[in-house]
Amino acid sequence: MNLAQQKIAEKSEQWARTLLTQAAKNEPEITEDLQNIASEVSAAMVGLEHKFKSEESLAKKLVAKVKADLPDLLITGFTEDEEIRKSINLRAGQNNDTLRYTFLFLNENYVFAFKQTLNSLAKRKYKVLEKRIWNAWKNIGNVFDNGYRGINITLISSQKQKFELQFHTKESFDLKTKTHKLYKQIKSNTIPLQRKNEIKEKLVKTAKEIQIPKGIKRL
Amino acid sequence: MKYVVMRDEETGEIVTLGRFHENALTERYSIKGFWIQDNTLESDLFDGLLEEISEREAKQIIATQFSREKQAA
Repeated sequence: MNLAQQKIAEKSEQWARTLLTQAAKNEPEITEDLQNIASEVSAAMVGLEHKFKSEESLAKKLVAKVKADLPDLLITGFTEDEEIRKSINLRAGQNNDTLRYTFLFLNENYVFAFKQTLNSLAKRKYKVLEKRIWNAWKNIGNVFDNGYRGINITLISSQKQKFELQFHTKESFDLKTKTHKLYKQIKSNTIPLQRKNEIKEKLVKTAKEIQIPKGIKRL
Repeated sequence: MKYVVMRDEETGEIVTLGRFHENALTERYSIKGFWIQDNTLESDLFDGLLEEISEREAKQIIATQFSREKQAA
């Protein structure tokens, strides 16, 4: 590991700890609100035991993103330290999954319940980042399709805590759980392109069995 | 092929220009003036950080923002 890589690793670990400390402080209120909303919209909240991303995963994610940014940053005339700091700050600020939650809806109720959830969140003063609503159901069959099925949104609480809320059906959640390791591989910058292509094709093929919620593409 | 940008959430400034190919290749445009493979775009996609743009817009960004930064560098 060279000096720049060591600095990135150290700064990423520091940021991961900071993000997790902040999330731990804000989590109880958010979890309580989401449990109440889940009850209002007939959602099952799953994976609560995994609501915090691990410090190791968080640091790894930051490292990968900063490393990808760095070759460009280093030729813009700033010093390496400045550029590492700039990239880490940007990437840590974007991070939405230090704290993450999942709602499961019945397939036939999915679209209606999703809209209801957004209304309930707004009533409780949660800000939905409109540009960061990722409706993966809309990508079926296009070049962005990586077999993921669900909607991921990024929210900001009144304590300024950024967090992620995922919306799944039982089937799409099971699919996500089953294929988790393959997703990790396709996000890695060390995977050969051919292998990435094979995995993506496999993921898309597996996802074909998943029933698409009615009206989802019009959302 | 589809083109995407990632913006700084606070300033709105474009920080990454990328593209997704049919064969699973994902690339970002380097200010050195060429496309380089970048699989972290897959993660950015999951996180809702990418905004789709047209090829024409991508070319415009390369011609303006990226060439300006290259000159500055």
